[in-house]
Parts: sequence; structure tokens; C-alpha cells
Amino acid sequence: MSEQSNLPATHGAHDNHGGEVDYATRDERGRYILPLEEHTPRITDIDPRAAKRAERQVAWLFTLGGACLAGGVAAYVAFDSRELISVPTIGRVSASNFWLGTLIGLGSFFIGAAAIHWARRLMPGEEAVDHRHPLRGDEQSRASAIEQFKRGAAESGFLSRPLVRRTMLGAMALFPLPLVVLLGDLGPSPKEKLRHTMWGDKRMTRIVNQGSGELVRPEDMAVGGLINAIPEGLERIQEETGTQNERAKSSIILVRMNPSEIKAQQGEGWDYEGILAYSKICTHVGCPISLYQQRTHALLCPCHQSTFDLSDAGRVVFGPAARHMPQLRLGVDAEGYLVALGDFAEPVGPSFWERG
Amino acid sequence: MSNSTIPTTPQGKAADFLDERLSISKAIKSNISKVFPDHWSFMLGEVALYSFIILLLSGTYLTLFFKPSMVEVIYNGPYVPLKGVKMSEAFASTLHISFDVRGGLLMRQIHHWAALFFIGAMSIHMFRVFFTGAFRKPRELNWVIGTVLVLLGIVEGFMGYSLPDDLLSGTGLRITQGIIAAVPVVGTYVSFGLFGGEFPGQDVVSRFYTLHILLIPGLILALVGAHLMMVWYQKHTQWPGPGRTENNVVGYRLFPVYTAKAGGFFFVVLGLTTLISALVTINPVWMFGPYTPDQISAGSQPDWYMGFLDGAVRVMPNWEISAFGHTLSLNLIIPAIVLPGIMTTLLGLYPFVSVD
Amino acid sequence: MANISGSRRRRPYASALLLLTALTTTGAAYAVTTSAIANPRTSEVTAAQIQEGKRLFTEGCSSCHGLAGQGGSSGPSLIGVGAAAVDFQVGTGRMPMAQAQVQAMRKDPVYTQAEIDALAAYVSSLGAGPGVPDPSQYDFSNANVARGGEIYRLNCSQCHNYAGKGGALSDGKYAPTLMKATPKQIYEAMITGPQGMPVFSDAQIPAKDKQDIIAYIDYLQNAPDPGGAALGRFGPVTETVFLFTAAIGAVIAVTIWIGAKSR
Repeated sequence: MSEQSNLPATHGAHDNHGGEVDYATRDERGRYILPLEEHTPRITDIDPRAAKRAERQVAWLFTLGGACLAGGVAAYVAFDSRELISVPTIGRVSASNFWLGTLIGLGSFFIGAAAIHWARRLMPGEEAVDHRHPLRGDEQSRASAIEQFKRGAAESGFLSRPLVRRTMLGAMALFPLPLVVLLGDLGPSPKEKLRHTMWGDKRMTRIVNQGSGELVRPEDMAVGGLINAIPEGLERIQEETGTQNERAKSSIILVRMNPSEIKAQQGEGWDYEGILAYSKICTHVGCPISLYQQRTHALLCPCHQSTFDLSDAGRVVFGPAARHMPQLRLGVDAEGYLVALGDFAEPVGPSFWERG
Repeated sequence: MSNSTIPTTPQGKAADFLDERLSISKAIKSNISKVFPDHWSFMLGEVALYSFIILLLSGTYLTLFFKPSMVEVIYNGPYVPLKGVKMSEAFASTLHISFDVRGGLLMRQIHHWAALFFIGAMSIHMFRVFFTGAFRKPRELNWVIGTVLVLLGIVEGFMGYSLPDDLLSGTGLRITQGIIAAVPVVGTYVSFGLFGGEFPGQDVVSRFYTLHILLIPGLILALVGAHLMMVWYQKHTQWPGPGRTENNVVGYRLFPVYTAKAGGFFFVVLGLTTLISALVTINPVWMFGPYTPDQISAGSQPDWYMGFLDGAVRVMPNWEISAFGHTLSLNLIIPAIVLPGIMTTLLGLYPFVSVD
Repeated sequence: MANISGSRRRRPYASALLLLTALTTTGAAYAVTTSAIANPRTSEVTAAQIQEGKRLFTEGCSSCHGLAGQGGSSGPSLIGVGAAAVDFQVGTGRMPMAQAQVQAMRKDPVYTQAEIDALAAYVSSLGAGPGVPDPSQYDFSNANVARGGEIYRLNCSQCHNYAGKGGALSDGKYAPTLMKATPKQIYEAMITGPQGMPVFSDAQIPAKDKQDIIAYIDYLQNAPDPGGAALGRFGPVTETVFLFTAAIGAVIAVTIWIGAKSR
């Protein structure tokens, strides 16, 4: 192949004298079809030295890839999983993760790059053309398919024996039923579980400061203060059943504000000297909220930004939540501990169909 | 019979063995020189495919160490800031993978980065197909399969995100539970079924695990197979250009050019994913800590592909209807169920409703 | 409040009364809230210090907080906020505020520590409040960092983020990052509840637990990133930004290389 013949064709699409366009060639919509550009030879096609150079580059990339992979194996042996090293601009990182990943990653990258380079430089650079065959079957096939199907359908009697057809359809319609029914024991029936929390188990429930594990006394709380709390005995339940279900319902926050700042509550006198107890579980979708801004008494949910005003009966002031945060009635027992007097008046947490 | 195909070499004998039994010569003859058009944007789907293969490989590795159990244990591993802390076995084993297994952290990060890549590449690939009109006849059915694949990818990703049972993933599960419970009529029962009772229960991680490593990847694998077979059978679309018509495909042959380019590209994608996992932290679960339903971090966000849902849930007005003893949470049903339902329906049906 | 056991808390009943009176008289709903339970340390405060503090206060603070610290339209009353609040607000450069903002930002402090001490002495002379904690209170050398982490996730991470990076609140307010907070400042913030932050008095979070929290924040400030660059420790948001810029960008660069015509 001479060099001349490999040069690109003169593009004369808009040039009547170019003579490169066969104006007879049109597609089925009548648009002209430009002929395929002639293959421009690559440097590696013409210059054997360039081809040799590309060959060496590919070989080097494969070698480098192999070497990096071997290095990765060495790094696996060399570094303990907990060893840390400092890498500029990245920080203190795990030596094992850094070296293993870098070496295996580079190794894999170089192998891939070698293959691509090989394909681009040394494998055929000339475009090939394939034909698209119509997807629609030819008339004969279609006719034959229809005919054979009709024959089979008639032979089966599906159409001529309605009794068989109907009973079969009826039986098959029932087929998925056992599959669904068998899922019944995935979980217990909800019953009234979502309506009760541990706070309702006793007439008076002492309140545990979740951080310190101590029972809360009113005088522990500063004005502007916040305590994340749970009912007394919850930790014991945890020990017995190992579940977190009760935490997801019974967690509360205690806040204290100046009694004069309380605008409204869900029940008359449910606070104790300015201490208010609200559910910690958002009424929207149940995220635990204790982002309490003591200056504005706003309680903000970090998930969807619902905001509640704890000085105003836990009212929704912003966001997608539809209902106020349920409040607990507080009091003090004979020994001076802060207690909850009964359960929440409504289910805590996200809504559900039967909630009412 | 031509003498030229009588095998003499061992490779030849092996090929002959297969051909005599499986007639592989016919399959090879009609496929090995198949032409694929060359354009960078045609490789985005390949990125998704390779990410999926990386996910299968790294995921299989992780199953060797991960314990899908919500039984509470006391952590006693090498990570001091969680020593003595109560957590689920799932979370403890994730810490074990991260700190005790050499390469475990790397595999976790590869798995997570590859998951983000997978859904990211699918989405960009989908944009390419959409804006080049490649979903039109005869490829409508493959567009539908692609839509289902994106949905399955999102569900698969969300389940994987939930498995480590850290504070962030548990928050995601909590929100999911709130949304499921909002579904009219069956919501509460579905929620109790999924979680084995009240939230969070002790079942959801092991159930998601089965779905995450068996059912959904199986479905994805089957649909990916169908997707590729349809591309193969219907032949790839191409950009207009000289010599390109509706009836041909211009490009390079499967063997050798695309074997090298596509094979090499797999190693490049693997290499880049590994390199990123060596250099950039993803989901440092040890910093989030174990999940408990009464704790949360500011700025809790889902992985990117769930962002549109979470955002829709945020901006929705707080509409909720309570009547006849039932609650209809429009603030959840509309953004989290109706909206994605409409979006995916429109997306899937687009080729059938759009005008050419 | 009257049943507070005064002797145990080392807190005179009178000052609680004074605090309440001061609050009602000034009607300052926005008062920087004091801890009713805090234990002001009676450190050696000299009359000269109070005098110097009063001078500095008149010059630098009184335009907002009033000549007698009673508060004004642009600044809350400082009666009863205590020395810890002054040491925190001025020591972190939040006060004096350069201009009116939704929330005071951490800056380089304007005053020297001696001046801050004088200001604190003056302000605590206006009404008793939580005192500057003693180094032994925030010494975390024997603290339990894992327990601190648990208490941190319970009480702090909802606003300050899992890694102490801070987070947004409503109305343009935010919980600041803890990356520069010193143990003393962390302690002071907990007992005084600066700006919107709730008060975590020593009765709510015992000193021992506070030390555990400080130990955990100290860990967060110096924590390594075993997995590589931390992307700011903000969770999936910055991971997404990285994914769609650097990561997918690199892959697309390779696709362009593969698809480009070879010459």
C-alpha cells in the first residue's frame, strides 16, 4: 500500500468538482450518504520504528503493572493492619490500606492502559463496516410462526374447552397466595405496641440521665439545660432481651426554662418548675432529636429540619412534620426524684395508618 | 470436509472437542468479528458493568468476614475509642474488617466507592442514551430493562448502606421505617414484617443481607445479561457521519480491537476504583459509632442516589389527614412513594409516549 | 429551686435569688443563661482586677451590654452569667462581636488573658455564675475516651456532627466546629451554654463525664484517617462531590482516550 493512497480523501461534500460524493447514494429517507472516510494511516502503520516504540511502551506498561501487583503482595506482608503513616496532603493513614491500594490500583491501571495502548497503536486502525439486518422477521417466517402457534393452540383445546381454561386460570390466580401467606410470620402483629411505651408501665416512673446513668432530681437541671433521658429500668430490659426497641419509643429529652417563658403545654401543669419532658423521637419519620436551642426553645430535627417550639406545647413551627412532639407529665416522688406521671397521651414517633 | 480444520495442536484439539459437542464454531464465526462503533460516550455503560463486577468480587470478599447479626456484643478490638462499647455484631465485624483484616478496609472502601460508581455510571449512561435518542425503536425494551436496573441498583445500594449498622445507616433505616409505616392500610404490617416487630428489632440486618447478597444481585445479573444480549443482537447505535447509515455499523471488530480495549478498560476501572479507595476515605463507620435509635449526627445524609428522595421528603409541606380512626400522611406518601412511582413510570414508559 | 442543698453545691441561696431578681427586673429573655447549679470557684480575685475589668468593660463592652452589664437592645444582660461565660466568649474571640451577626463567630481573641481575667472578675462581681473551671476539672489524662464517645454521641453529635465538625441549625445559626476548642473552652461551653447551646451543668453531666467527652473531642481533633483523605468528615455529601468530579472525571478521561482517533 503506497503512502499516497493512504492519505485522507479530499472532502468535497459541498464542492461539485470534488467528485468524492456519489450523489446517487441516498438512504431510505432520501438523505445523501457521504462515503466512509478513507483510513488515515497512523504513524505506527507507516513507520516501523514508531511501531517498535509503541511495542516497547506496551511491554513497559505490562511490566510496570506486574511489578506494582508484586509490590502489593509485598505490602500485604510488610504492613500490619493498624500501622499508620503520614502522607503529604492526605494525612495520617493506614500504611496497609495506602500501599496495598496504591500498588494494586496502579498495577491494575497499568495493565489496562497497556491493553488499550496496544489496541490503539498496534491493532488494526482501519474501521470495519458491518451490516444491520432488519429485526422484523420476513413474511414467510411470520406466517409460519402464526400458523404453528394456531395449530398448537387448537390442539391444546385451550379455546375449545372453556371449563378447563377457566378452572386453570382460577387455580393459577390462587397460586401466589400461599407465597404471600407464608410471609405472615416475618413479624408479630402490631396490635397496640406502637401506642404504649415504658412510661405507662407504672403510675410513676423515675427518669434516668442517659449519660451519667443517674436518676434525675429537679435541682440537677439548670435553666437552659438539657438532659437526654430514659425511664428507670430500661437498661435492665436491654440486658434481658438485648433489643433497642424500647429506646426507640421511650427516649425523652428534659429541658428547663424559666416558667414564665412557657407559653403552652399539652396538659395543664405538666412541667415541674419549668422542667419539661418531651419525646425525643421525631413525629415525622422518627429521627431522635435533641438539637435544642435553649435561647429560642426550638428543637430541630437534623434529618428533615422539622422544628418544634418546646415553650409552646411542642408545636411544629417549621418543616415537614405534621404533629407536635408528645409531652410527658412530670412530678416529683417522695424521695425528691423527678418522675413521669404516666405514658404519653398519644403514640410517639412517625405516623401509621391505624394511628387515628 | 476441509482438511484445514483437522486439529493438530493441543489448542486445536480442545476447540475441536468443544465444537463436536457444542458447535462453538458457529457461534464464533458469527460473533468474533462483530463491529462496534467507537465513541467515548459509548463506554459509560461499560463503566457500570465493570463496577458491578468489582462489586461482586469485593462483596464476596466482605462476606468472608462480615457477620449479619444484630445480637449485641461488647467491642473489644483494637480501635480504642469504641472499646467496651455495646454494639451489634454486624457493626463489630465491620470494625474487624476495617482494623484487623489486612486489606479489609481497602475492600470495604472499594465496595462502597464501586457502588457509588455503579449507580453514577448507570445514571450518566442513561443520560447518554436519552439525549442521543438511543432508546427509540427498536430499543424501547432495553430502555425499560435499564430503568429497572437503575431502580434495583438504588435498592441494592441502600441495603448495602444499611448493613454495617452504624449511626448513619441506622438513621437511614429509621427514616425508611417511618416511610413504610405511612403507607395506607398495609404500612404498619409491612414495617412489622420487615423489622420482625417494632423498629429496630433484631432481624433487619440479616434480612437485608440475604436480599443484598443473593436476591437483588441475582436479578441485576440476569437483567444485565438480557441488556447486553439485546445490545448484541440489535447492534449498537452510532453517531451520524460519513459512511454511517441506518443499515450499517462502522467501527472496530470485537476481536482483537474491542477485546483489548474493553478488557483493558475493565482493568483501568478496577485500578482507578482501587486507587481512590487507597487514597480517599469513604464511610468511616468507626467515627459514626454504633447505631442506637436515640442518637444521631448533625448533617446525616443518605448516599447520593437517595438524595432526591430525602430532599423531596424535606421540602414537602406537612400535610396529614386524620379521619375515621386512620391517618394518611401525605407529607410522606407524596414525596417518598407517589413521586418516585410517577418518576419511574414516566421514565420507563418514555420511549412509548415520546414522539419521534 | 429553693430546695437546692446549698452546702453541697457550695452555692449561696442568696445568689439564686439575686439571679432571679436580676432576670425579672431586666426582663432579658435573651439573657445568656446561667447555670443555677454551677459552682463558681472563688479564685483569687483582687479589687484591682475588678477595677481594671470595669474599665475594659466600659470601653469595649458597654455599648451593647450596658454600662452596668444590664444588657441593651443589641446585647444581653451579663448579670449572673459568671466568669466562665466571659472567659469562653472573649477567650474564643466571639466577643466583642465585630458587627451584628446571627451568631458570634470564633476569631482571634482581642484581649490578652490577663485582660480577659479582669473582665471575668468584673462581670462575676455583678452577679454570681459559673466560674472559670480549674485545670484539674478539665484534665482528661485519666479519662475514658470510649465512654466519652458514647456521651458525645448522646449529647453532642446531634449538633456538632459525628466528628466535631459542627452543623447547621435553624435561622442561619450553626453549631460551630470543635476542631479548635481547647479542653477549658469545651468545659466552659458545657457549663455556660453559650449562644443557643443548652447548658450541661456538672449536675447534668458530671465532671468525670465531661473529661471523658473532652478526651473524645481531643481524639477527634487528632484522629488519623486510616482510609485516606477524609473529605472534611461531613459524611456522604463531600463523598458525592468527590465522586462526580475527580472520580468519574478520571474515568471519563480514560473513555475519551480510548475513543479518540489514534494518529
